Amino acid sequence: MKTKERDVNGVHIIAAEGKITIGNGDQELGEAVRGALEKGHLKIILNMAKVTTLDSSGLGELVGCYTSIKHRSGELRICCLNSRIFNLMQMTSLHSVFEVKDTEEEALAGF
Amino acid sequence: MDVNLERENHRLARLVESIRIINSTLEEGALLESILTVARQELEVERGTLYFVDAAKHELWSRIASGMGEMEIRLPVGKGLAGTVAATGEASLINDAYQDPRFDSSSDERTGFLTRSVLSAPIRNRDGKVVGVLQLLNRKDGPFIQADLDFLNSLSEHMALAIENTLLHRSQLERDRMERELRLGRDIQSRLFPDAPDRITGLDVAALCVPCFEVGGDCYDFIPLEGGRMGISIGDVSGKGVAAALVMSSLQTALRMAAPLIDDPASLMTQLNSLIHGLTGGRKYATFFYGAYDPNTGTLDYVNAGHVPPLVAHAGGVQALASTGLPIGLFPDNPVRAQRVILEPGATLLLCTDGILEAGDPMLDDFGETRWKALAATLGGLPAGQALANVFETVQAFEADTPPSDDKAVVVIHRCS
Repeated sequence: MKTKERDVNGVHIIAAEGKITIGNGDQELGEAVRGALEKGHLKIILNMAKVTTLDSSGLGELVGCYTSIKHRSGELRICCLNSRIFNLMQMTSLHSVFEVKDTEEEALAGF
Repeated sequence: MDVNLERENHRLARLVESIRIINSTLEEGALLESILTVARQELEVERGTLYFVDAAKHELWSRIASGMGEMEIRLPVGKGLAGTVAATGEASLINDAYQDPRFDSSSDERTGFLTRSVLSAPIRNRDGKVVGVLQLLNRKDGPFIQADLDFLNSLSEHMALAIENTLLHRSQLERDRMERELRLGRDIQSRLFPDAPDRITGLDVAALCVPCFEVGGDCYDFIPLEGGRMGISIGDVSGKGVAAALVMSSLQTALRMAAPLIDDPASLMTQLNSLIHGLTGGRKYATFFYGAYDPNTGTLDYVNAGHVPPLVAHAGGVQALASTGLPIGLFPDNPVRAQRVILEPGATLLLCTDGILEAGDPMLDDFGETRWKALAATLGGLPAGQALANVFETVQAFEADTPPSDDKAVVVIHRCS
């Protein structure tokens, strides 16, 4: 998995690309989010438009990111999920935990 | 005989004998001893240490005798005399150790030994890579000389081969040990999967779990409850392999203990959530379905903590028992709602883990919910064993040559008409 990071209006956007699966992207995702937190970013958007696969370990890491950000009184928004990943979120009821938006613009709005 | 020829013959004989000694073992401690024996015999030194290079950790390591038996010592490549030799690949020959700034005298201070001279030689393999460092202390009959280094250099490749063989042997032994433990783990885990209960409950039940590795994170269970009721569970711990299997075993044991004591499935799930979160701190979690089935009424009071929705196939179609809460173990508090469904006579309850839905190539097409529901619709009236076989045959045919990437568990419960 690769990430590209940029800031828009004080919001840190992490665009992930590739797989987020056990031993292949799950740790990198956590490191990217923790790295952003270390730099003081508290408003974070995870753009998953180019994430092809997310497995149970990837989902666990996503929850770990969410918890780390919450502990620092920050906020995580997730956007641009493909239908397979959105279904996984729904199946596990995690769409009720994460703030999930269809587009990056929607995620940015009102942050 | 010519004196030079005699000397050369003697040197060759020593070399051959040294090579024989060095290649006489695959055991790490014995190799260390045999190399040091050669060095002590041929070079007449008081002490010697053989360091192995750990390229992954950029360290040298060795075992030395201590008051408590053997202990492992490690030092970074580049530090001290041996570390410098490993880093540069250049041998060093020092006949007055205390005048050399690279010499670390702390070992002498600890042990009372007085180091005078030190010869540190790299041990290179055929590719020229340094795989070890041989360090010899205090030549007994004078200073170290170039001929000592030449002798060690002529043995270097043989020592390297012996070291590499020893390390390979060591990793093979470690692999063998782990495989034995995994097989033991698999035996233990397979005993955690219960036999399907008999028809006393008015149900025809079949179940199978196929782990992707030796041990896995999928589980199912059937637990006798008060009043002839039966607890039915299926779960999937995130990740795979040993860590997932450990969490699964804890979860299954806790369920077996708690289910007969806690009637309300939602309260039971709260307890299990606390247990798993306490064990893993949220780093591992389980999607989990649990239902208490009453054979007198056909009611199933259930909770679905983020698990693949079980399907009820009956004459009227297929009903999915969607999630009623978050997976267990993710958060310290996790309210899960209980729901009720009635299994009519002739209906079949099908439970699976996501290894079924994700079978196939996820980049192209996986088995998915739609196919799973379509398959369920064809299984309604079949005996449970036949339905289970159909599921695995259909999924395996779909997977074709794609190697499985996840554990698969399926439970089929048919309420007899």
